[in-house]
Order: sequence, then C-alpha cells, then structure tokens
Amino acid sequence: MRRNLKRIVYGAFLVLILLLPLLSRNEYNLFVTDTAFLNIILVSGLVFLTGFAGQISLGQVGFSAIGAYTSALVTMRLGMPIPIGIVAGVAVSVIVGLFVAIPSFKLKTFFLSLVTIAFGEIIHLLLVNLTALTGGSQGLFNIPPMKLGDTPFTNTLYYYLFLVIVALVILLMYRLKYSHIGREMFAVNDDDVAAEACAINSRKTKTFAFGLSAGLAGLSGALTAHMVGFLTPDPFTLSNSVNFVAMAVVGGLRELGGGVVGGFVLTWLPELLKLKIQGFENYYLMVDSVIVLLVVVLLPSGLGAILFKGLSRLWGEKQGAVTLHNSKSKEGE
Amino acid sequence: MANILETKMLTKRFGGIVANHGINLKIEEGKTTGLIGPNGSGKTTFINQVSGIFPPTSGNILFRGEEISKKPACKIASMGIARTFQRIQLFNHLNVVENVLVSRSKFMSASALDIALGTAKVRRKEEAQFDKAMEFLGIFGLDKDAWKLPLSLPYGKRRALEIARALALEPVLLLLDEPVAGMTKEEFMDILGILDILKERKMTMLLVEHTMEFIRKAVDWVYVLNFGEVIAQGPFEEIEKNKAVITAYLGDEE
Repeated sequence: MRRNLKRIVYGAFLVLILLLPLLSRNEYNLFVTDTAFLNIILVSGLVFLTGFAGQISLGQVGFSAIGAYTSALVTMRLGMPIPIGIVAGVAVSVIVGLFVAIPSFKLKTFFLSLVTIAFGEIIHLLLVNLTALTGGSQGLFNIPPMKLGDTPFTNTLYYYLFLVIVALVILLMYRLKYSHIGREMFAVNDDDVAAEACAINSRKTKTFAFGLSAGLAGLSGALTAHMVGFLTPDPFTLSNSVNFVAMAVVGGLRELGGGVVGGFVLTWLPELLKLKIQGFENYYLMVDSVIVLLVVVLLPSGLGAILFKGLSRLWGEKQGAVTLHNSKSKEGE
Repeated sequence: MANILETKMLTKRFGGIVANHGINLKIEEGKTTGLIGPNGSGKTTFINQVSGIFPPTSGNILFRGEEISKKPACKIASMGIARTFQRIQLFNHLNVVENVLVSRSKFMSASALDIALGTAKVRRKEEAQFDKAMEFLGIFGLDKDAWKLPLSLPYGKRRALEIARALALEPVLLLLDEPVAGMTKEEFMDILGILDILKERKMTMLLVEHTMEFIRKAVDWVYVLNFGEVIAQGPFEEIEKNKAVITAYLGDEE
C-alpha cells in the first residue's frame, strides 16, 4: 500500500520534472532553473569533498572559472567543437584540483580553508590580469552557444541537457558513496590516523575527492560559459564560493541529495524574495542570509536530511542507523 | 622461532624530549610480547613509530627482515601490522560492519571507473567482502550489532570492534595499545577472553599495558620501559621481582 503510494508520488514527481518546461512558458523561470541545475552540479561536488571526505574548500569558484574559461577559449580561439571544449575544461580543473589537494595532506579545517581561499583569489587575479588570454575585467564575449543542428539551444533544451547531467552526477555519487571509495572518504573524515592504520592511503583519498569536486565545478563552469555566452571575472569571487558552501550546508553535507536540495532552494530563494514581494528589491539578500542562518542553526544536518528522513518515514521504512552498505538482500537486518 | 619484528637503536625525539632512546626489541612469531612501564615512559610512542604514525628520529625497524621505518602508515598496515589505539578510535559515522569493511578495502580495490559503471564485478566483490566482514564480527559476537553505530555500543564492545577491525586486515602482527585501560571488571574479563581467541589463532601480538594483572595473564615475554629506555626484559615472573622495575614503578624507598 505504502509502497504503491511511494511509486505514485515519485512517478508524479518525475513526470512533473520532465514536463516542467512545457508547463511553464516563462523564459526567466526556466533560466533560473537552469542556473539552479548548474549550481547543483558544483554543490554536489562540494558535498562529496566536504561532507563525505571532510575537506573544506572556500575556493570552489576557482575551479569553476578554470572550467569556464578553458572551454570558452578552446572553442573560440582553437575553433574546437563545444563538447571538446567542455571535456578540456573539466580536465584542466581536475588537474589543478589534484594540486590543490596537496596542502590538505598537512592542513585541516581553518588552515585548509585559508589555502583554498588563497587559491580562489589567485585564480580571480589571473582572470583580471591575464588580459591577452582572458580579456581582463572586460571578459570574453560571443562564446558559442550549444546548437541543435543550426539553431542555438533554448532555455528548454538546456533544461533537459542539464537534467540528464545532474541525474548522471547523482548516479555517480550514489555509486561512489556505496563503494569502498565512499567508505574510505567517511573513514578519513572521521579519523584519518585510524584510516591510515586500516591501510587506507588518506592522501590518495583526499586527492581523489579534490579531483572529483574540481571536475564537477569545472563542468558547471564550462556549461555556464556556453549557456550565458559571456564571461567576466565578477562571479568568481570568494563571496560566491561561500555561497556554494552555504548551499551544501543548507542542503545537507552528508546527504547524497544535499547538493540538489541546497542548490535548488538557494538559487530560487533570492529570486522569489526579489520577484514576489513588492518593495523588497533592496532587502532580499539580507532576508536570504537570515533564512540561511536560521537553517544552519536550527537544522544543522540540512534541509535534505529532514526531507529524506521525512519521506522514508512517510513510506513506513525502518529508521535505522545510517548505513552505507546498499546490498538489497541485507538491508534493514 | 623467527622474529616477526625487530627494532635496532630506535630513537624518537620531540624537540628536547627523548621519548624513545635506543630501543632494541624483538617480537617472536606466535608469541605475545608485553611492553610495560610507568606513564610517559614511551610505550605509545614506540607503537606509533612501528605503525608509521611518527617517523623515527633514528634507528631501524625490521618487519620480517624488511626495513619499514621510512614507510607511510597505510603501507605498513597493508604489509601486515595492525593496531588499536589507547583511546578507542572508531569511525563513528560508519556503522559497525562498515567499520570492519574499511579494513577490507585493500582486498577489493575496484577502479573508480568500474564503480561508476556499476559493473557486476564490483557488486560481487562488495558482497564477498561484506560476508568476510561479518565473519570477523562473528568472532567477537558483534555480528548482531552490525547495523548499529559505534557510539551506541558499550565501551567493551567498542574495544572488541576496534580489535575486529584490526584483525580484518589479516595482519601478521597485532599491536594492542592499552586494551583494558579504563574498563570495568567484566569488560576486563571479556578482553581477556578476546586475547585467548587471538592466541588460539596463533596471532603474534605486542601488548602495551599498565595493568599488571592483565600482563601477568597474557604475555610470554615482557620489556620494561622507563624514560624511553628498556630497563629490563624477561618472563613476567622474573620482571616482577626485578629491583630496577620496582623502583621505576614505585620509586625508591628513601
């Protein structure tokens, strides 16, 4: 009975997601939703890095910038097709991510976050000052959009493309979480000395987490470049990195779907405050911040944790200890 | 019998403090060797050096004849030296069986690509290691608690879990750092029972302990440390009567 209810609700939700662009003809709403998807990709990487592996990064937009500018330059200057540009953007982000992992071998918490802030700032300064390559503070214009045949992608087409990518990212994270790699992340997060004593190479684990999260940030950046069509250094600042961390925390750092919930809610919340409440144009960011603060203080495990726990209670599923092992036959023993 | 582990002039300095000074120690295969000494005598420093957590300042550590003093902790663990910690160090956000599964990682390393693709090979490996982890839990009767979180277990069971996790590495040598510290009488007896199980399995062990009662029952050979140096060694009955040892523990009679 409840199992059927679960199927109906999830089925309806899926249909709604698939039909959403056809139901709402509002281009602006679609654009905001597309942006939410892009944020979800980046924040999911952050959930993986910070929530699973326990490594703090306040420089995530640095990777996003690397992905965006690489893909833009590869397509504009080298005339390569967009998919190759995106792959190049992700690859360069991953490589840089592997290097940024090195300080994490010795540093933790505040000290590590300082290093990542510095990394983000360095990238920002490079974007502003390497004028020949990045166009400086003017940025890059006329970045080629994705095309279907000869017509450029509409917001609707981007919606479906990003939806597929987000689904793949979640599938990847799900599989990694319930594998020995996921357990190693959680082990290093809880106690890296004990993890080493269990033959886990904590450096390798941290490097993998940094590489993966950098790759996802790079992917998000590259997709943004082609969707928006221009790039400036402005969005790639510390305050935006912090905003992404806020999304991860609000969504639920240890939740597989934390990036989805946090990315969606915190992309839409400021828009709703700005659009729907008259005379709020000057205050919406303040209210937005207060709401984030309240969530962090009152629901430290995140909205996602509450949502998913509530849902599984609704379906009458057993509330046991958080288990990573997903072997169906053994579940709920 | 062959020596599993041998240290030669092993020395560790922290700034001006010499925590371990020229320690020569041998651990025979299949035997339980004890390491005792007053607080701050360098017992835990010794274990931390052998397990690779602190690199030695000077001296050698030979494990089955191979020099390991410069190897990282994870490498030493995967070569076959497992350990427990003075203050229990479990993975508190992983459940009981997952704690043990972490140690099984070295037996199942599937590539990230295989995992991403969700291949049947990965699933089979995962299932096989899960069964193996349950076996290790079974040794200590922890299989019934497999889905609980470590912090919900009583202290004695947590210690048993930590030992199960170490055993799941299938080690050649097991280092136990004060396994009965802070335990009640019943928990103490439980750990003695666990030690008997380990001895039946012919596990070679180094036992660092404070509790004389426990050492008396458990070890074949004892080393005594004081101020970072070995001051005596021998069977416990002899060590018990050794003048230098009594002085180190109780002080001079003046």
